[in-house]
Amino acid sequence: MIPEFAVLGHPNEGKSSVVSTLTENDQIKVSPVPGETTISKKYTIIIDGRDIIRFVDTPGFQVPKQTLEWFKAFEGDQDKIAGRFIDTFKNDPFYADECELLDPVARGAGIIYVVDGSRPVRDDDLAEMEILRLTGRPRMAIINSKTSEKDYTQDWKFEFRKHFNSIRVFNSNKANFSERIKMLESLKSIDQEWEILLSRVIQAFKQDWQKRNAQVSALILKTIEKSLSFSISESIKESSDQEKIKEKLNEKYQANIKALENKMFKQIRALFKHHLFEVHLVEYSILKHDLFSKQTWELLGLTKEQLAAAGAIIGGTMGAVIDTAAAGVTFGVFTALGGVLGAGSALLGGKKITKKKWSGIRFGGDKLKLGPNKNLQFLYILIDRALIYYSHIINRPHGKRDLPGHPGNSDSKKKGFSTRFTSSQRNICAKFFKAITGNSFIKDKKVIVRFEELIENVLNEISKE
Amino acid sequence: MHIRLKDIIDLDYFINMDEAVDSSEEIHSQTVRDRKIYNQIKDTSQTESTLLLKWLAFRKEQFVKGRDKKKISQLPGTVFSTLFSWMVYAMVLSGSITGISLAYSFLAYHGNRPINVTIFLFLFVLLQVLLLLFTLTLLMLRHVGTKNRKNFFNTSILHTLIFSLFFNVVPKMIKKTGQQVLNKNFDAMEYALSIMRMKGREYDALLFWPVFLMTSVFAFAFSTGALGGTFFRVVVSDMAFGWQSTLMASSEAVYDLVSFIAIPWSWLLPESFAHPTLEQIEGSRIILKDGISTLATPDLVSWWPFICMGILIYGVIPRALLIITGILAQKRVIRHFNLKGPRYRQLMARMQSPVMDIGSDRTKQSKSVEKNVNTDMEKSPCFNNNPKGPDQNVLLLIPQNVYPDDIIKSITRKIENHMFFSVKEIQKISFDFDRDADTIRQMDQGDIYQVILVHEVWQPPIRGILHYIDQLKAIMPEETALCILLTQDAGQVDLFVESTNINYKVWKKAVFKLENPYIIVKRFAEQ
Repeated sequence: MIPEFAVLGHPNEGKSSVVSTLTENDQIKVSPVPGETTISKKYTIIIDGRDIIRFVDTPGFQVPKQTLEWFKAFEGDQDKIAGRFIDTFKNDPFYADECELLDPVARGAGIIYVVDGSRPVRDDDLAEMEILRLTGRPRMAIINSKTSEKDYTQDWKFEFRKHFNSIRVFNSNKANFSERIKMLESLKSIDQEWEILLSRVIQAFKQDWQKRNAQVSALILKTIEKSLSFSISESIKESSDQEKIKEKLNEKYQANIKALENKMFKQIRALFKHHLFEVHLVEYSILKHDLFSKQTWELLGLTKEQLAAAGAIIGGTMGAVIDTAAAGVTFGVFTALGGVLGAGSALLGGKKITKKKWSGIRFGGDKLKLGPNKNLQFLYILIDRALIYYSHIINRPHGKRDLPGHPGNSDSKKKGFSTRFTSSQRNICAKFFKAITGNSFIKDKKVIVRFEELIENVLNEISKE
Repeated sequence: MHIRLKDIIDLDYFINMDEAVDSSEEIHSQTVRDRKIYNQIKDTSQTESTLLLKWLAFRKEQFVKGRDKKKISQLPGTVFSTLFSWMVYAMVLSGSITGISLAYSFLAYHGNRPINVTIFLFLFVLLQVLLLLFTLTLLMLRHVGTKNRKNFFNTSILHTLIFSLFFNVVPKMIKKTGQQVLNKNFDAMEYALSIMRMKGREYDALLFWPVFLMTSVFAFAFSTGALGGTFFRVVVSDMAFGWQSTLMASSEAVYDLVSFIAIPWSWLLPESFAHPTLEQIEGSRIILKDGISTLATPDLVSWWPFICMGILIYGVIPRALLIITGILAQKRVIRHFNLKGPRYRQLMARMQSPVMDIGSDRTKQSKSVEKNVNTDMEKSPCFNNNPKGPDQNVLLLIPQNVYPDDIIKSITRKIENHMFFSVKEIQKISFDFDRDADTIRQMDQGDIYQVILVHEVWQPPIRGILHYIDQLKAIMPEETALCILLTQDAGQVDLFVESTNINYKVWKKAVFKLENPYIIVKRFAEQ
């Protein structure tokens, strides 16, 4: 048998939101209108095809006072009180919600009682707590603050101490992975019988998280590799309008890099089981800016000089290079030239130089080629964007539904993670960059492995933050 | 002054508009306006309903004057009555066309086989009689249901179907076809219909008869059309009627049946005209193998007066009677419409109470009150005054251990000064009905005009609370309203609840479902 917990409470206290966060399921309906959940729904966490823990989202108490009255008057086996209540009232619509919510408790589930810490304790809550105490099941109380305007946490804690084995503040709108683990750790303490089982669950959770981080780092590596080595070319004739071709190539190049990045974002999102609310996710972060926008680069903490170098990409002339059809191997020279021109345009703020120089070159029978990007900063940009995206994803609880008053993290000036890299980490990055963009046909596998390890370590650090 | 259905709809519309007003300035100007109207009409209005009707007339006049500025150009009542007339015309037209065309096509006779009287009678007489009986049964059931307050007809599928036909399907068709024609009145039509849809249950008694009339008009037009069509065929073409049966029923049996059917009119007309004679019945029997050449023409045509009388007596006249009944019943229902409901009483109270004006800058005043209602309310000159409205006592029910005493005091003052009631008694309640009921019963409810239950808006209207409210209302005199006054969390500085507050809306919806017009939800609003 796997551990099962019924999430109970008054209507509109955020039960569904707590279940949503605990089970990493953002498709559970969370509504600001009370009474939306009318039947109990089971959510089982499955790892490697094995059920490991189950949470039951239940309707809110509708007639707590009347139910308590019955519970108090009950004479019989106290262990079976919930079951007897259901037997008595299963056909009475007045008690329909109470029967539904007590059903998992009657089946032996543990109790997680959820309250909204931003509102005061009232008589109905006391009645509910007493009902749960009388069921005799192991129980834990969660204070889930829906708004930050008011805080009645201390009042709640005072009442909870009389009725519950364990109390935890758990904000389903903020809780991340480590919060979830802490929550499961607390569940262990409510009943010794579950300690071993829950330890296994926690272990499974942690292993699963490690696995996901390893998958994310592989994804990041793959995307960066592709982005750095990506190039695009087009044949040109003497009569061709080079400016137009250059523009077209540039657009294509950017679109391809963006597509690669978006694909990676999507895969990361799927790994962390986020299916909805993508718009809100990127809204407040650097990710809302275009990969090629100057703002992105500034936000990631590049210096003016670095920015100038990066202008090779930003300026829209990332280095479109003329490459003779016969001697494709020489393209490196032109790429460098493109970089210089781009940098100039970024510093001087004009396109004139680029335009002028371009016009002096003959194109007969040549190919215009854009990429691969030879600017090391581009690597850091890609790393940072991937890591920032990862950080947002893992810190976005599945139960969060952007309620009014929760505009989300306003950390718009967030610096890139790469600015915190040590010199040895930077060294690994530089070697990796060289291995990917260099002319060597046999890539140094060790460098790539070390780079992947670096990314994975950073991911682990971010998860612990 | 007689009230009409359109007046009731308009009254509802204006009261709704007034209730939606939110800002203190607007509420004040609304109070001043109503008071002005009252001062102008009080001498000529003896009863409360005349007062209301005159108030309505004033509001309509104001509406017409400021029509250009408004979103809608016609009042919902006018739109409703126009829509109703259109629908009646549509029923007349569609009923007549269906009746005429059905009878006309059914009576096509080409000389080779007479028209089968039995099938014709089944379709145009028997079916009509069955439908009539069905209608009468429904009316009876509804009557019984209304008397027993069970209202099972209201929750029936038929009710839903008919109402959705008239307030959903038909308007949608009109919307599609007549958007150009309706032009500016279109919004008003939408509004009128949405009111009908939302308040269908509340105004069921009022809306039942218009719908009933429409269906009766259709049936009447259908029968009349069928009668006309048949008569026209008889006049302009050569007709032959006959009957046939495999069961070898004797002509005598058919004669007996025909005489029975013709009882209602046989005393009035000569026998040969009221229904075919035995010989004529015998003579119009069709035996296919013999063909029709053996049948005598006088026998074959002898059926038509019987058929026409059948349609007239069993189809047209009963439907006409039902229409008359419907019109009379509608008038009766409107005459008995309760203009003393809580909503109207509130308007009356507003009109009859003196307007208090503190003579200082309103904006500043309202802001300071809003900022700190608990402390500022007491200091504010606004609350030092205690103008007495019409002497209406209320009983205030406050949940125990929720509102501190100073808050209760400020709520009481607010009720007295802004809702114009006099708080006769304050009772702490526990929401345990058995415990609270005795104390409430013991209180002298004789001169209590309204009971106000103060409650925090964020607490969801769970079944337990709604049940308590229901029980509470049941021990109160029927016409005494129970008002649930919603406030913010009792520990908060500002108790005011915005009209957009989601919890307030949830409460309104939940209490609406209790289907008791004497239980109303109000919010503690800035005024």
